[in-house]
Amino acid sequence: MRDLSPWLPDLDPPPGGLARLRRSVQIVRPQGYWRRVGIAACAMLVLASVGLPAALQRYRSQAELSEALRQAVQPVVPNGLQVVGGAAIALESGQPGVQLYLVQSARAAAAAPR
Amino acid sequence: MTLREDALYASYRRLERPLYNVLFRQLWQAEDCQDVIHDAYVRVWERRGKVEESTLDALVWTTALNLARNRLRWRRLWRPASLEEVADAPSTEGEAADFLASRRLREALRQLPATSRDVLLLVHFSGLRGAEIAAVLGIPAGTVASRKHHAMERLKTLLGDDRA
Repeated sequence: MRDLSPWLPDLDPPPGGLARLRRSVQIVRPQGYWRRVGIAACAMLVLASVGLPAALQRYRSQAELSEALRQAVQPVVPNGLQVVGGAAIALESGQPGVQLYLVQSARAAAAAPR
Repeated sequence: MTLREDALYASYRRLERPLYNVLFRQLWQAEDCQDVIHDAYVRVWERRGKVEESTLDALVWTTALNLARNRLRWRRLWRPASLEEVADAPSTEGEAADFLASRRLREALRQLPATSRDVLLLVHFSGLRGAEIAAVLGIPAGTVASRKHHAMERLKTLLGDDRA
């Protein structure tokens, strides 16, 4: 059995293989595409995990201050301020008839040096 | 060391026919063979930054043979053998003779050890030298000749025919 040709004739491949490969090669992602996508996603996660708590904290402080100010400008008490969840500290204005108040959120007031 | 597109296509033109002939004697379905050849080249192209043109053909052979093995495993798991037989059934008398011969060969090849069968088909169709075939199949270079001899003897016994 030296010659296998009768049993293994040479077959022609179906046409169109090269054209199909050419089409596929055009749409294959560039090399390292998924690695770059992964790196970008990780970077986004890191940035979000670092930046998000700070942004939330800033937002909360501003919201508390806004609330304290809103309460302070409501004329609930004659000749004075009523601040709930915050503090209104009277300051020297230097002008007669002018009263200055420093309004802070309760947390900011507690943290301020006395 | 980046593979050029024209080198890929040149390799395809070189290897399409031998690849198809080897894979057809493993998968026995033209469409599957075409898919495997295509997928092998696409995989190589995806790794083009790490592929040297001097070893491109060997890499394509290795990739295609691995993909064919995976496809056979998948078939054994999910597709009943009887369906394949029906799909290949002949429609005319002339085709019937070819069908029977093809089926005998198919059964005989199926009974060969996988590596011996690969060696036999690569020696017959690929045009690769013994050392190259050994590298493609990941076997010692010295065993290619003996595996080929063993496969041919076994095939002769299984086919019971002195024609070949």
